[in-house]
Amino acid sequence: MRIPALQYHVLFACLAGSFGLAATAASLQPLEDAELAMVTGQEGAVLEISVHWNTTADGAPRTDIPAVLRRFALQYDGRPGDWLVATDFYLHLDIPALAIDSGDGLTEAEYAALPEYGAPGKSSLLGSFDPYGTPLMELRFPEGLMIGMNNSLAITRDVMDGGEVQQYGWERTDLQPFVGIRIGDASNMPGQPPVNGTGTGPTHINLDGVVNFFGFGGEL
Amino acid sequence: MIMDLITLSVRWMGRFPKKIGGTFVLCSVVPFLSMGLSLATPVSASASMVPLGDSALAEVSGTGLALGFEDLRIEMSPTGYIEATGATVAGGLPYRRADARWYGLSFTAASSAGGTGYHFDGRPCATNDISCPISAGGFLVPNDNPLIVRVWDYQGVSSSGRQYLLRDGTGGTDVPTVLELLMPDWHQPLKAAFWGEIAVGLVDGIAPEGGRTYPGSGGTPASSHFLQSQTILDEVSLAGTNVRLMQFDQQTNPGGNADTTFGLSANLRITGDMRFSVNQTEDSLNALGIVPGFTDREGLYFSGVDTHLPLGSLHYQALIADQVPGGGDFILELTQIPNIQAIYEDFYAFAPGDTQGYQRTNRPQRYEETHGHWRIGDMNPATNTCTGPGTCSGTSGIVFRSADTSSMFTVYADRPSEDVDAWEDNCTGADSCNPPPRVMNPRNADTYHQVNIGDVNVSGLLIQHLRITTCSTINGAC
Repeated sequence: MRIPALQYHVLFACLAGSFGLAATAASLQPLEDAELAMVTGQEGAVLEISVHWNTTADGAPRTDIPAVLRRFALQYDGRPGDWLVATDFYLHLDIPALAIDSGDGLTEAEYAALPEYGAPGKSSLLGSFDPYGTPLMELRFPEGLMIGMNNSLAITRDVMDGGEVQQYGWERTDLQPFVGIRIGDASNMPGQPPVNGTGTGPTHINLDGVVNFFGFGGEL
Repeated sequence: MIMDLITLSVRWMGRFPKKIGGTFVLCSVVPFLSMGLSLATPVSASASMVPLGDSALAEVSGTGLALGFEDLRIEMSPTGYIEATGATVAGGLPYRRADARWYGLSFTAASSAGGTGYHFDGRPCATNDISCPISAGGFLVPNDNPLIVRVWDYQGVSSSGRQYLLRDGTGGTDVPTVLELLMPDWHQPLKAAFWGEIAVGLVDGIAPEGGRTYPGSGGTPASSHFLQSQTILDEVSLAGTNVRLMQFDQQTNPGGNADTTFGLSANLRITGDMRFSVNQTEDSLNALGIVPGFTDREGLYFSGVDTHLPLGSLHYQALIADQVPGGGDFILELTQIPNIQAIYEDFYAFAPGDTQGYQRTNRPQRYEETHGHWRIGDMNPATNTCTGPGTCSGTSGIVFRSADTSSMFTVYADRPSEDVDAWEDNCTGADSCNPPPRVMNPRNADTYHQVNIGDVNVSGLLIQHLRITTCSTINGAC
């Protein structure tokens, strides 16, 4: 099956102290036990995450890539030969700062003291798990995120001849998308000053507040 | 082979302001990268993490992942949009291209939380109520009622006492594992808002014609008409909503071979108030892709909305997708209820002894799980008062309001008589059966700035089978 292999570059930099000591890595390396042993707990970290899928650094679509390769296709189990194909596909996601910290959730008394807390009582879905003051991961997005996306959706089928696949559905050039989905910004055209109404570049989303992320067990 | 199509960069930085006692301080340095990507220079650390021992790990049962939110506030740029772009319509079809955009989607604190707010064009709100689309504050989803993501095997008997049934009517234990998203039982009410554009017949879509105005409003007109609107949902709760993904056996013959596909079921529950408005301020440009200024009062109001829409039932009904052979069209189907007694008795969930579904008392709890409802208002006629021109003070249910109290409109009705006796008296023979006399609304005068047309109560919403087929790309597909 001719599925396009996806290659990606991983770029990271680390800051030590107040100095911008950047380290780069050209390939993925496994962590040894000895190295893992040196991983000790910290009080927080910030991740910068960028995914540029068929886009340039500022979010413009990479039209230099052949159209048949700017696709994302799915095939469900039980649907042999059928494909859901996103044509003219691109995804642009920049999270300048994903702040990760650990902490303890609010206690029941602290919740009760919040005027916005409606005293709902513990959800039965949590079973015997105690959700008050529990250790958890805190996520913040202090600079929000930039996101852009485009595709046109089509459902298609493999071209068969004598029981053999002649052309996979995802690579057909006669697709007729029934709808397109786009996320963009009317004032942002990549590479240009702010525009009035014609923009298709990525848009900004503010994400304020704290996300408390935790797992739970216990008997139901 | 595709090279360089994805650029993925991850930066791990060592400084992070940790909030302690309401002030921000800088934490210790973290100059290493975990996540199995690579390892940079290790350093000493001040507060070391205690390693988990086998005994500690053994206590982690992994029932699910939970998300709580403190002061959560999500706000897309007012010019940012999610767009459904139209497709080129095949020749000979009676359709026109349509495009729709939803701009500035935001989730902020409900008006009842107080505080200030502002409009999409940046103007501060006079008051933070349903006239105001964006609140300055966020909302709370407490850790004791979190949003939950988990995998689960629904088998045996549910918490409400009914048995989960497979599509063949048995209550087998070999059930599909479900990946589910469960909304909280309670969360602080929130406000959701967006403004939108719907355009029909634009030659190339909205983006290429951005900035062009509505025909007749001056400037360079767009190639076709469009409508800009604002939607505000206030005091919203999604408590009880759930979405489940699973492998679904869609065999039509219960005794047949398995025919599995991707299935989805959902129980959608939403309560709150809604306002849909279109009136813009006098200085609003009314052009494609330019943020309009909407006025504070005009609109269609739904006050006291309570919606429950069940789609699918574990494990015998699910929402599935299929293709239309030969083209790009598709089918969305809520699968048919199998004609098996155990299943339809569970699905209809009649009161004991009832065989027709008319008995409205003593219904089992299961009835409210498989039957949806849609209510607007408090079902109290006293709150739908409209005693005279300009005095429709009732705010429950469906209400129309003008842009301001000095802007009057006509309440008008011209409808057939409801006097059945008059109709029958008038109908003396097949050729002389004239239409009944028409009734003109007696309040036919432009003296109203607000009209309440009453409440809505749709109950017992049951979907046995729903199949939607798109017909846009192939002539004769439908």
